[in-house]
Amino acid sequence: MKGYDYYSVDEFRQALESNEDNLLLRCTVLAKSLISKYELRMEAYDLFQETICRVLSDSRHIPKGLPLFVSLGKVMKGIAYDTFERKDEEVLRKYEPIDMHEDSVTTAQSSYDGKLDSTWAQLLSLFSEDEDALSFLKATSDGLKKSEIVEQVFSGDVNRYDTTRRRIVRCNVQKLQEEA
Amino acid sequence: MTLNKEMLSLLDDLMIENIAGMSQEELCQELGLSADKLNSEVELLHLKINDISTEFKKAKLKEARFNLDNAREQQTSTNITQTLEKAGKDAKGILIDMFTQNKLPAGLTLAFRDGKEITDEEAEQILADLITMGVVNGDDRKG
Repeated sequence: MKGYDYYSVDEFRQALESNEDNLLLRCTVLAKSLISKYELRMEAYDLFQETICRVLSDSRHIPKGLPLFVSLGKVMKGIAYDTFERKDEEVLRKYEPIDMHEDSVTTAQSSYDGKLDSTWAQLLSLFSEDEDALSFLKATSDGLKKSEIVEQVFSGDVNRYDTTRRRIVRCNVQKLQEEA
Repeated sequence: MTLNKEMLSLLDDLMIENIAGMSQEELCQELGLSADKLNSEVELLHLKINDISTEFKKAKLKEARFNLDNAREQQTSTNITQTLEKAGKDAKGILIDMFTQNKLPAGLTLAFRDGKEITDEEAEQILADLITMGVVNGDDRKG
């Protein structure tokens, strides 16, 4: 942790309350997207609240050098995935079942799976000329973890792994989907 | 196609980047909000932040304790440096002097008598502990 500048508790609270760059709206949109994707039985506001609590209680330090939304997004995605993977009954019990959304959840499930497949296919197409990115995507779909991809695809070059992953993540896939 | 954890993680990061780049209009569209509903939506989120004020207080306390422990550690480190400089010796040398003067706590005395090898780092840590306990005083620093 040495060498990094992190938000203090007060600074973190002030940053949330300032709502700079529509931070709170972005968190809500992300929460709703993750809930839909992982079929979590909770409200977006509650996933947002869970994220904030995790940051505060978990000593998960938020660096100042990165956009706050991106840092919070990574925490939120982790909670969403963990909940999905473990089917965390403790978390699920905290929230009221969204009965009226039962039908839409069923609909969302089938449409979301297709959407993710489509997104992956578009990534492969978009990076078909980018050898590193294509190798990265194929290794990822083969289930290789970061350390394995670094060794087997990038000959131990962590920087190459990081820059390739960053290049992929920053491509505007949504725009591609709209154009498709 | 079955999406594994790494693929899902990558797609989540893609989603985060896309949302990070959205305009306010696009965000409102995603949430199905009209412009006049925007403020009430943000207000709801502010309420959520206030709801967890207890967590904020706990985190502040934790942060204060962390800073206090850090300050104590730095102070101890400064004390060790001053002690070694004044004595003109390393930590092991000071401990040996204290042993010969019969000023070490019982457990340490036993270790020295048994000829147990202590590294420089261990010696410094022992000295730090002795300073904290108040066993090391001005006479000992002079060696």
